[in-house]
Parts: sequence; C-alpha cells; structure tokens
Amino acid sequence: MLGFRQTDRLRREFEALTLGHLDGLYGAALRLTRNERDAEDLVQDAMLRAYRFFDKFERGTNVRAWLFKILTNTFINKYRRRVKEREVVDAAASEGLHPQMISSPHAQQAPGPEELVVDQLLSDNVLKAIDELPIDFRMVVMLADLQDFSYKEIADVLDCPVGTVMSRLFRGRRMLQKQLHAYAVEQGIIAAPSAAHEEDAKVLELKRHVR
Amino acid sequence: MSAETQSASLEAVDCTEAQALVGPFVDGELSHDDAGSLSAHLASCATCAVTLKRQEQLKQAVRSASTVTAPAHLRSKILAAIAAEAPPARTSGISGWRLSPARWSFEGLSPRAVAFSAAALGMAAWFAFGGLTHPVVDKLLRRSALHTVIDDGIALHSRTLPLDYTASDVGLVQHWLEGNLHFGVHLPRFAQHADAPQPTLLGVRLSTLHARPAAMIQYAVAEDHGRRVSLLVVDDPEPELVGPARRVEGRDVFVSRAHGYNVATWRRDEIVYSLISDLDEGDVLALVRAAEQR
Repeated sequence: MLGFRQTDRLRREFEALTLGHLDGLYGAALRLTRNERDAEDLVQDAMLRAYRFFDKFERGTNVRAWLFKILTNTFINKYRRRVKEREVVDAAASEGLHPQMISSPHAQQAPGPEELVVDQLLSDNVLKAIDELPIDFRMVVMLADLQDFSYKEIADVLDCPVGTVMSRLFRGRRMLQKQLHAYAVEQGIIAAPSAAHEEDAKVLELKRHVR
Repeated sequence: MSAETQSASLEAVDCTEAQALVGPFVDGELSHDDAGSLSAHLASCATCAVTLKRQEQLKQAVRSASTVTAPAHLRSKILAAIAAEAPPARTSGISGWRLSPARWSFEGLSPRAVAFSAAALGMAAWFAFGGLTHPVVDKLLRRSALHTVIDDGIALHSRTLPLDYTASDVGLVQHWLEGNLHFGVHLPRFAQHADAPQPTLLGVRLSTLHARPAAMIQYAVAEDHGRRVSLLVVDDPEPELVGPARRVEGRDVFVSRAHGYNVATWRRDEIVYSLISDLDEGDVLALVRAAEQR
C-alpha cells in the first residue's frame, strides 16, 4: 500500500496531466455514444480506469493518445452494446415519425466535384452525418478531424496498421460527403440532379408532397 | 496505401493518384516530395483542385461543428471519484472493469494483495477438495467477500453516476425494479420519525458487483444539505452475514465503516441490503429503524 503522501502526489500528477484533455475526451465520447448521458458516463469510466492504470503509463510519452486509447477501448468493451440497445428502443419508439429517416436514394450517389455545399449546411447536419457513419469509420474521422491526431497516433489508439487508418479515413470521408450532399439536396441548398436521376427527383418530389 | 504514399516521387501524378493523396495532404501527412507532386498536379487540374477544396472544407466543418466543452459537473464528479479511489497501483473489484488482461496477472497489485489472493486461492482449493471447514478460515473468507461487496458499493455511491430510472415514488421504483431485476426487492418506505433523517427517493441505477446483478437506489436527505444516501441491493452474496450484529426492528444489522462512509447491512429473503452514506452512525441506524419493508 502506498502512503498517503505518495497517493496524494500521484493523484496531483494524474490530474495535472489529464484534466486538460477533458473537453476533447467528452467531445469524442459524444460522437461515440451519441448522447450526453452515456458520454459523461464513458468519460468518467475512462478517467477512473486511466487513474487505476496510471502506474502503467510511461511518463514522458503521449498522454493524450493514451487517454483516447482507454476511452475507445472502454467504449468498445462496455458501452457499444448498451448504446446499440438504446438505439433499437428509440428507433422502435419513433418509428414513422421522422421523414428524414427514410433513406434517400441520393445518399448513394456521389456528389459532383463542382458542388461545394458543406459551408451552407448547419453544424447539426454535419454532426448528424458523422453520427450516421459506421463506428469504425466514425472513430477514425473523429480522431483525425475532431482531435487532430496524426495517422500514426490513430493507429496506436486503435491498435491497427497506418494503412487501415488511411483507407478508413478515405472511405469515411467519402460517406460523410455523400450524406452531406443528400442533406443539401433535401434542404434545397443545391438542385436535385437532373436527367440521369429523374427517378430520384420524382421520389424526392413525392416526399415533399407527403410532407 | 502508406507504401504508395511513401514511394511516390516528384514525378507527375495522375488524377487517380492525386485523389488518393488529397486526404493525407489536408491532414499534413504527406512527405515534402509527395506534397510537391500533388501541388504540381493541382495547378493544372481543376477537378482535383476542387477535391482538395472540398476536403479542406469538410475537415474544417467537422472540426467547428463539434467544439464542445465538458460540463462543469463532469469535472467535479471525476475529481471526487478519483479522490475516493484507492491508490492507482491497486486493482479494484468492480466487475465492470474486467477489460484488461492485466487483471489476470499479479502485476500492479500490492504485495499484500498478492499474498492475500494466494492465501484465498489456497483456501478455495482446500475447500474444493473437500477439506475441513475451519471456523476461523470460514469466517475470514466470508468477511472478506462481504467487505469487497461493500467496498464496491461505496465506490459506486461516491461516483454519482447517472440514474437508469428516476422517480420519487416508492411504488413506481418498486415496479420498475420488478421489471428489471430477476430477484425480488422489497423497497423500503421510510416512516416519519422525529429522530430519523427523511430521505427523498431519487431513482435507481443498475449495476453489477462481482458478477452479481445489483441495484443502487439513491436518496437525498433534504434537511442535511441534500446529502446522498444509497441503498445497495444485491442478490445473496454470502451464505450468511457474519460479524457483530445489532438487533434493529427485527433485523440483524451489521454496521461497518470504510473510506469515510457508514454502512448498515441486513438481509431479507436471501437479498442483502446495504445503506451507504456519510451520515453519522446514529443517523444511519435511525434510517434502518425507519425503513419499513413489506
């Protein structure tokens, strides 16, 4: 057992090293769990876990990457199922209430390179699009774009090769772009595609009338 | 993909290569040479230049869409939980933490804990092989198991995690528990007593202690600055409770003190109830006295 003084010193050291990363961890947890309650639980669990394994942390190495590794592991092991279960319940409860839940055919279609739509979309749309990414892609996009980790750091956090990080990031961003394009079309920010996608346009028109 | 990125030279790149390089370029992951090659291509290719612009926009949009600040109460909750936590080098018994393979090694445990575990294993083996039940050993094992359950209860109490179900009505919470636990709980009603604190029911959080389902029922004591009281309900962790008991309202109540909390534990119908709070011992016992279980 450690003496009180030593425990106190360790705790201070832990707090000094980690508390500055709380906002980042919480932001990441929000994107992983997609709700505030679970995000708080997740961050608290991860921080306590980090504290418990603080003796395993190699001083002088990347504390932020270490914390995010614990956060993502805790999420995968403990929260993923819980969050999924809740989503199934929520989806069942809200069935038929959200027209935007109907998958749009435009989501499948790549945007034309001339369409710069992201700026005109609200942050809410961007967050929603991120949250709709499958978890593996959401994690790399979140780590690279939200948290500004390098590819090497992401590979360390997720325990996978750098090549995997790059391909997931590439595909994840492509999915994100498609989804944002679909939102932009839905909201009339950009015109629905013509001629070749006449069928799609009809469906969209139909949806507008229904609404 | 990384190999491609590495091996690309200052030679001209075509659109397919350029499209793959744009992402790493935006992320600042391209070598000087690769970045040079890509820039040369972008200068003469409007399509790829737009791809770059879009990627930059996307990265920027993602970054600015999710600038959040952790709620202030989260920070204080974490600080409180860490302060209540045992020193880092010790492992905890809360079963939710069984994630790391390190848990199965003795590395990181204090020598005392290792010695104790080894002794416990030895004793367990002795029992398993039909060894004699020595009352002292028996008592020691039972006490230690109960203590770890109580320790975990205290750890949960001090963490103030969000509730799974929020209600102040005993009937509603009882009903919810019946639908969510596989064992029967008799949720107490606290009778009005002049000398007993009057707890207000806040709700329940379900948990798992030593692989046993448990419920933490939370109360606040208004007249004591909203001080929290938790009632930990666990399905039969021990054949019987041991130690010095007090007879309170027909119950054998075991009072213990750990980590600055007073804990009163009793059993009813194979279920163990533990009241955990930092109220003083007299108040805790008064609460037990006021607790009516039908």
